[in-house]
Amino acid sequence: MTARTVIRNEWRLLMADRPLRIALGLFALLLVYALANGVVWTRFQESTVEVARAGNVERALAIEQELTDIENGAEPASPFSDPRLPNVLGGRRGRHTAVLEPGPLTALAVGQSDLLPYYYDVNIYTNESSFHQNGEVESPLNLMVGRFDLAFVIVYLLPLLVLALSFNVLSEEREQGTLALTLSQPVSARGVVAAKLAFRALLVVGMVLAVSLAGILVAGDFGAPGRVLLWCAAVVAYALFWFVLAAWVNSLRRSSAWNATVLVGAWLVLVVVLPAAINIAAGLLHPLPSRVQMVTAQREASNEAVNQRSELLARYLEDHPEMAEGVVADEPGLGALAWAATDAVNRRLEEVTAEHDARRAEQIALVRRYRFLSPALLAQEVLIDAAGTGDARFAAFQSQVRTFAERWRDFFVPAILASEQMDASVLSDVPQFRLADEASADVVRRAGVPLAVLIGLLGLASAGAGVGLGRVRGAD
Amino acid sequence: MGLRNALLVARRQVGAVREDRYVVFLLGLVIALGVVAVLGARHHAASEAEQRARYQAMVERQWVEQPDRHPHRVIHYGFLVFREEAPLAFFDPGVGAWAGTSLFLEGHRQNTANFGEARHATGMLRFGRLTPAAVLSLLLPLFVVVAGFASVSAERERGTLRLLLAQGATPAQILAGKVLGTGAVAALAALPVGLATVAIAGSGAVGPVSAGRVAGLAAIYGAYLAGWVLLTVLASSFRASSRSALALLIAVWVALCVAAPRLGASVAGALHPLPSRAEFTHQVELAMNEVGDSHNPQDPFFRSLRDEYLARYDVASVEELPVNWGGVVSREGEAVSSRIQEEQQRDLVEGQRRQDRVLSWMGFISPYLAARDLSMAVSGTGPEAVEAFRAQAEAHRYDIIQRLNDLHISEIRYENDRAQRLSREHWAEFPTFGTRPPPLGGTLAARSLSLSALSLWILLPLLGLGLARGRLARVGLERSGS
Repeated sequence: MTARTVIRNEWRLLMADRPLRIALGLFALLLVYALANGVVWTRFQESTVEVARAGNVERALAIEQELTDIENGAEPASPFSDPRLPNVLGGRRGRHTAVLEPGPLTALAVGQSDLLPYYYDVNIYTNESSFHQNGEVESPLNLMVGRFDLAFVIVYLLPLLVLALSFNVLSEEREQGTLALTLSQPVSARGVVAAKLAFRALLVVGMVLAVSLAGILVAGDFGAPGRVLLWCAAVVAYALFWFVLAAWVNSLRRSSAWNATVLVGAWLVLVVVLPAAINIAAGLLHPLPSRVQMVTAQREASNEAVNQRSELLARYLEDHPEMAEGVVADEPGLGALAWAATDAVNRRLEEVTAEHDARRAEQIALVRRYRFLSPALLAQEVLIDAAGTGDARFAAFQSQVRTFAERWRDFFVPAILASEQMDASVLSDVPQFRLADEASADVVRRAGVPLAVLIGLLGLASAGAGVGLGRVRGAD
Repeated sequence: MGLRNALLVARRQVGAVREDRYVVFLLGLVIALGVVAVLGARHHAASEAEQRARYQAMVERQWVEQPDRHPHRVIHYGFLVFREEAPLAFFDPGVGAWAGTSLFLEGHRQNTANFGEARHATGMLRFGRLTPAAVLSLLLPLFVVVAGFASVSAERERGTLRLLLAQGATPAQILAGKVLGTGAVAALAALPVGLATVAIAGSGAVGPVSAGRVAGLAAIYGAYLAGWVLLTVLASSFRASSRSALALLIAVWVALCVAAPRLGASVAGALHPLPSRAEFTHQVELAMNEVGDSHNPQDPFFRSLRDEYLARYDVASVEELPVNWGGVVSREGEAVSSRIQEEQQRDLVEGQRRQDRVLSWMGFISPYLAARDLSMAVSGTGPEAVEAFRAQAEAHRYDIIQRLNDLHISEIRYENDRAQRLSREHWAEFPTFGTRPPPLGGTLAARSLSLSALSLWILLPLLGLGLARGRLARVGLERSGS
């Protein structure tokens, strides 16, 4: 009996089983629906990013127009938004929106992209508290539930289909009395199960990968082959893990009903209970530093700073002698005074936030260790990281915006301190945000760790299944 | 006689479950998970509440301890409020982690609440947390399925069903007994979580909890689990084998409890899309630009206001007004800008409510959604609690800002306005902020959809059992005949 016979046989059997046929069809439908959902979300993000970019251009043009008019003798439209003032040009009116393009495979995994902001308005008043703005104005209920995307179908539903296809891969033969017959041929139980499962795996993984690649074709780009490979590797490893687990349970020589119960139990524990329990345990063992405390500390910092404005200016000028030119120390301009307070607030905020962030990073590192316990958590992490919608990419974006905000301040603040006016000639030099997106290689390196662990779990289960199947005899 | 037979069958069913070591093991597991969830959640909620109270007190003290200040300076100084979680949030945290927890209140603008817990955790939180509500609504149904999928079918497979019928038990009595027996096991599994919740709520450690809310939760989860018990026995009675009953029930569980919530949310989002944050801010800005800028005295809106005041007091210039014109501008500007922002905010919330309503309709498909909706409502942790916080904080903000503007108008002279200070004694006269949870009656009244969905969830399987009653004997005979 060759592998081809097994596979042809299997195909006929599978197609004869109506519930399985329905399950396969339903799964294909869900895959397509999930992909459509992800594509809609990507388009929404793309159009938002487009609008933000257009806003940048529009604002710059309006300001340029007004500055030219003023040069030609016109009065500014309002003394409060006179674009010649550096705190207007660099302030809310002339702000620059820094945007993060949707990740290359966002259509496949929405990930954290509906929760974390992907654009920030940057102006001279941008400080740490600006980064606490929320993401989209999404209903909290929808955020809690999460999106119906491919990553969800893969992490939650794919294992169930795999188990439905393979819980009785060996036990059924025994129950129907064909096992002895099959094993009397020159094949091993290992070979039979491997052939049967290889066929099913090809079917399931093929379906998922086909839809994924179609999704990349429609709404992503193949410009990031590393990410695409990572995605495919995670899908294959995760699906195989469940197939092999089913083979292992089958090798224990129990009834089909027992296999089904145990496998569904394993799914429940690994996909639903364990992650939920880890989340609650992590909160108890490694509580994140209090957000309320941080907000209050930030608030206190700004109060202190505002209360001691003039001392602050003196200190600021001492710290930044390069800025002191043009500022008459005894009689500082109102703008300079206000800026000194703003700057002091920012410094205090940075201190408070840095302390909070450092503690938070420590706790999160501890919490993230627990993800090695569940293949579902591992797969989820690799998938959203490959898609460019994981926590790390958003953190990198935020830190680049932080640097950009500094550049922005450095550009406008000297003029504020010197009470200078600006004109149209500076417009071409105003900083522009350019995102240095993470390279595919970095992503592969980062997501390689959970992927390696996932593959390790797969190896472990394979070893168990191999040993177990080696003991199966036709006479069982 | 009928009741006695049903009770006998129920005892038989409980006995069968007790003999099944696998089910007993699962029972222990579910109970252990439930108790861990209650204790963990209570600890989490208590430490959060303690911190929130501490910092709210600190912020209030800072407010009162302000030095003599100009009222407009205080308007910009602002005030920080924190969202208090409902006492029952330890049982069902609802959308709490996904909504903002602190809100900065200041003049001229409505900030949005930020610092939601989820923003600061990792993507792992998407898998949900093991809360007492999750144990009852997700895990217990599965336990009910495992404890009851064979209740009728195993009797049939062993041939004892015919014996029972021959001994005079009617099909209705047998089915009632199976429902009672499986229900008793389910109740046993749910009891520890329920008792622990009642004990914590009753101890007052998490704040005052009304008995009505606890009873409401008991009723919701009672009904929800009863539906699962009925469905399980129904599937067991009409499927030919225990195995196919189990497969069917597990498929139903996955569809209703795992897939339906996400499907529902995505359908809701597709039917009623919300604007992006950038778009929303832009809308607010456009609307604000239409009325004008209270900081700009040349603005047409404020010019006509000035003319009106000059005419009313019959004077020639704002300097001669008996009230402080600067304060009047500030007050009227605040009134206009608050109204506009509130309108925009209402539109947004209306959009979110429309999405939530789609999910309520989905409750007819998935009782899990209906039970979750009701559970959040009764626990006081649903979207409307978050919205109530926002609305109350906004009302508080408006009240405080306008009091400050009134002080500006009456206590500060127009001449040399900014050099004057208001005595610090005034600060203590301002009201403090406290979240008032939306009343239980109102939140439930707005959830008639979920309530009827949950009732249907019991009625439909009950109806099915009524129909299956007639078939019970026949299915048994057909099977033994084949």
